[in-house]
Amino acid sequence: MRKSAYVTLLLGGAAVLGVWALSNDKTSMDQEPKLYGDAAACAQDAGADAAACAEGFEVAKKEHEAQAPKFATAEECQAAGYTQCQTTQVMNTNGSSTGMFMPMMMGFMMGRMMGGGMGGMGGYGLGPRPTPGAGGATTNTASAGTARPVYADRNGYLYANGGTVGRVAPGTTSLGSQAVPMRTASRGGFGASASRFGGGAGA
Amino acid sequence: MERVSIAPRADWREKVEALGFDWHSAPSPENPAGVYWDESVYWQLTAAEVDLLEETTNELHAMCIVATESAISRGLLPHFGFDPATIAVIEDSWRRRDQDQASLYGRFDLAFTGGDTPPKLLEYNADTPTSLYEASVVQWTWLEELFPDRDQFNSLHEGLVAAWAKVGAQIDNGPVHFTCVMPHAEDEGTLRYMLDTALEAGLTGKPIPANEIGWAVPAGASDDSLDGYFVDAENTPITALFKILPWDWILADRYGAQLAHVVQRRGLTVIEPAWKMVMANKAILAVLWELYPDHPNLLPAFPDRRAFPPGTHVVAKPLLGREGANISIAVLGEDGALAGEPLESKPGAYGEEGYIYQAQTPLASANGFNAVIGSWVIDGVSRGIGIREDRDLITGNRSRFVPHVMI
Repeated sequence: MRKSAYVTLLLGGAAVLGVWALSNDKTSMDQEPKLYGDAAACAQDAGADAAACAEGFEVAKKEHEAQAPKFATAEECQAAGYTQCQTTQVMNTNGSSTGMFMPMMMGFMMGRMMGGGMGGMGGYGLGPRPTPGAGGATTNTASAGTARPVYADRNGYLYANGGTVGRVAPGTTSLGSQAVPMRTASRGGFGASASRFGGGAGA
Repeated sequence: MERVSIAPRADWREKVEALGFDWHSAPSPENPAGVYWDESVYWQLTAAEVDLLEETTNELHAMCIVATESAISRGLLPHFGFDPATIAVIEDSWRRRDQDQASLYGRFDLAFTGGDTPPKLLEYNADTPTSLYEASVVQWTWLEELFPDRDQFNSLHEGLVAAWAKVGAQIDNGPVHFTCVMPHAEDEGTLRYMLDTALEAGLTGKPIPANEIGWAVPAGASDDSLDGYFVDAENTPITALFKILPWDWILADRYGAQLAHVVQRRGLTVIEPAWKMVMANKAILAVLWELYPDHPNLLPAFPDRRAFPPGTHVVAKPLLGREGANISIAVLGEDGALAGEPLESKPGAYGEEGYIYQAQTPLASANGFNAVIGSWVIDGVSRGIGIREDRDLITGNRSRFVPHVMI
């Protein structure tokens, strides 16, 4: 028997198209995330709310302490790609604690309203992706609640919530008071071959 | 394996359009109706024939894994028409194939005349296979309506969802951007289906036209700096990309260097992974024949026509060709020369990259129509078939898709 077990449960075309349409909703994507070294740097940014900044910084710090990957040695931490590592105490089940290493938090990212955009499928934000950024669940609620710790790898690439979010000079230990800008340098670099060869890309 | 004529459902257009299948016809001046989904006929296969196709498909995929390893380790990739930058991307991807370079799917094209005659491998569409939605959903709903008590070789849908779950585990469930050239009804439709199966597997995803993808660089860096990442229309970084665009196209595009750099830096996971370029290339056919000479499911294939004795009917296939483009069939004379004009040939923009020559083999044929079996591999496992028909011997992008039933 090779019958599909549940292909008949497939969403019909209308529903499939509905996902398509919803995913093109840009309203929730307009607000670009910004990166800050601390709450004060956030508060200085035009348009930022000081209270939300303070709250966001605390949210990011809590997630950092709870969710940042932990390593037995500084070497292991650095081998995982984090140039800057710090010590931390991890509580054991018997009440004692063990000294471990985790990446330093370079600052935090906030400002993006992560809800919506995929019609209830969960926020389409910078997804959790441990390469080598922090792990951690995505809770896509209010602005301060979306704050995430920012880490840097040895090349200076910044990661938040698992995605690449910017770049600093390698060896930088804090984002300081500056938001780190990335700029979209160009568009349209894919697709020329398609018109050269014509027709569909399938085989 | 038998071809059966049947009256199409009177309202078949409405029915398949309700499924989102809006590329069921491809009208042209020569063929105003231009039916692509053709339910005026179906192919009937026995359970034993399906078993044989399934076993063959699983074995061929395993052989392609071996052949890919062999081609890479023996340094054969330059003979595939790949430049050094492409080879670096492939080798890196192949090393990490069990980490974050999982493959979702691929489709073998098989010549199969039925019974216990071994199916023969024509080619492996391993990078950007199409006709998936037709095979997975459209022919299934056709079967459910017309032959609810019959079976079909088709567990593609749950296979895809399971494969996405595996890919999702490698990339923490996304987000995955889904891209193809738009507008293009067929590719967009397949893209929608892939997005749908990814969502069902718990991933998050978002479509983007290929030409809207941007490249972001640190402020102060030059526009073509390699130290950046791809972004979508809202400047959100793209960290995983499902594409209905051949790897050899996107590496040749203006962003090719950026793409090669960012995937090797682990900044981007691309589905299908770059190592599928090896299997998708026609040169794999010659490597397979070299590794498995006289294998019952392979046809003799060589990069040099002179390897065939005079009188052989050979099919010339461009290494990177797709949809039948630039394929020709001819009879060889002495020393690999053509004996007369090609028997059949299709135009196209391929061929500069080189050719592989494969012995011709009979296709399933009835009433002047030739059928090729598209046999799907999902996450390395044989999962079902779709059948394409044509009056020509060369299957092209206008060859009709016809459903099948098992008896």
